[in-house]
Parts: sequence; C-alpha cells; structure tokens
Amino acid sequence: MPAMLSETTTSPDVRDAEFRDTALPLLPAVARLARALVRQQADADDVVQETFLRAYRYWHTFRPGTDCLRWLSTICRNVARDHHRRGADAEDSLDEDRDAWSPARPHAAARDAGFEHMYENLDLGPAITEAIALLPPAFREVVVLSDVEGLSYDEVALNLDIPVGTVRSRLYRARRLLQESLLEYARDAGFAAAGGRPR
Amino acid sequence: MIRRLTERRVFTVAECRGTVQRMWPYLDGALSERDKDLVADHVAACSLCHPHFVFARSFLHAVRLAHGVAPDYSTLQAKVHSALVAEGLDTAHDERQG
Repeated sequence: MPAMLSETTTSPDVRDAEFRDTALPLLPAVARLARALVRQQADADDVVQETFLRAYRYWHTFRPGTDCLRWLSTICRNVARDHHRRGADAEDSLDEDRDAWSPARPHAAARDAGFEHMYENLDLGPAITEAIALLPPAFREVVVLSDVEGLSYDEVALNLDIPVGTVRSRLYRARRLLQESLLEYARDAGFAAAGGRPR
Repeated sequence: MIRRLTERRVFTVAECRGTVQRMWPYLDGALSERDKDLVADHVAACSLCHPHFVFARSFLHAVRLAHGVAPDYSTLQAKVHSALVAEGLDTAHDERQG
C-alpha cells in the first residue's frame, strides 16, 4: 500500500516487504511496457529484470503515495534506452501526418490490388507479429500498448511519458506503415488477389 | 459500432474528409458522444466512407487476434525474483507464506 509507506523506514525487513507488496505485483505491467520498448522478447525480459534490480536498489527514493507504476515505467524507459542505443530512428519522421485522407489510403491501395478482404480471408497473424517487430521503436511502442494491450490514448501517453497528441500521430502513422507492410506481404506471399486465397 | 450501409446519401468532399480524419479515434472509442454519433451517421449512409471504416476495423481486429493469447509471466517472475534475491531481497516473508 504505497500511501502508507514512510520515507523514514530503514529496517531492511520492512523495506523488502514494502518492495515485495508494492513493486513486484506490477511486473506484468512493466513487462508489457518493456515489450513495447524493445524488439526482442529476450531483451525485453532483460530490461524487466534490470528495471526491478534498479528499483530495489533505489527503493528508498520512491516517494510514498505516488504512482509506483509510473515510477517503475520511468526506470524501465531508462533501462531500455541504455539497453540499446537506437541511433537515428523514426523520430525524424514523426511529424504529424497532415494528409486528411491518409487513414483511407491503405484501404484504397488494398482494394486496387484486389485485397479488399485480406484481413478476413488470409491468416496474417505471423505477418502481423513480424511487421510490428520491424516497426521503428517509437511507432512499435504505441502500437503494442494501444492495439495489442488495449490501453487508451491517455494511458499510452502516461506509460511513455509523451503528449496524447504524439500518441495519436505516432499510432496513426504506425498503423499505416503496418497496413502497407501487410499488403506487400500478401502480394509477395503469392496469395491470389481474387478471394484472397493461397494459390 | 459500424452500422450497415442502409440509407445512401450524397455528401460533400469536405464532409467525407472530416469523417475519414476521425476514423481512428472513432474506432478507438476516443471521440465525444456527439462526434461519435456524427461519424456513425455519416458512415452508415456514405458508400465511399463505409468501406474505409470496415477495412480499418478488420485490420484492428486482425492485429488484436494475432496477439490474443495472454502472456505467461511466471518464468519471467521467477527470473526476476532470483535476481532480486541475489541482490539481497529478503525472502523470509515468501517462505512463511509458502
């Protein structure tokens, strides 16, 4: 119960009990965030472990009564940042997409290629997983948190510590990239356009 | 969420553009009640916008289905717990509970 914690608590036993009761139950939520931040599952697990080790070491800095998940999320983001220096990723192209028709373009492209019903008729599960993994990190994290984990725009913004407007623009761009990638996959995999069935 | 295309009406380009712009927030349940109703009414009557929305909804459904299995964190929990014990976390509480 974070609200009851006391910064003056120094007994290791009490400190450990507080950590066990407050921080450890949040592991699944932290693991979901790590999965959004890091491409490979094994790397994400390492990020979670390092997050909890750092949290344990610095537990005395956690302010009682504040949001522990938010505190852990900040640590997790820092660990992920340290884990792999991404270099230039998608940030350069993260300007809001101002094309008003942009959301409709993937459908138009699929319809023109004869794949209007590709999501109903084709098993795209593995291709979707692969396409998400290949997204630039800034796009992947919003897609995983929003479309896979089902978080609201506000919750994603809180988790990633970015404005809601940024969540929206990244999410819409990410979905467009995913749809383009999946259409390319359907074409390359040799699916017959008519009816969307494998040849 | 997306009603059948029933009563077909002709809309201006500006109306369709405004509706398409709100497609993702609509499908994500992030619009106000008023905007939600406006979009729903337009889509139910517009033969141009309706298929865009159906396609986008199918896409979102496919993404959710592709990751539909809830992850099992027990292995990761055990791994993190071991690392914390090595770091000095007291496990007496767990042993008493167990």
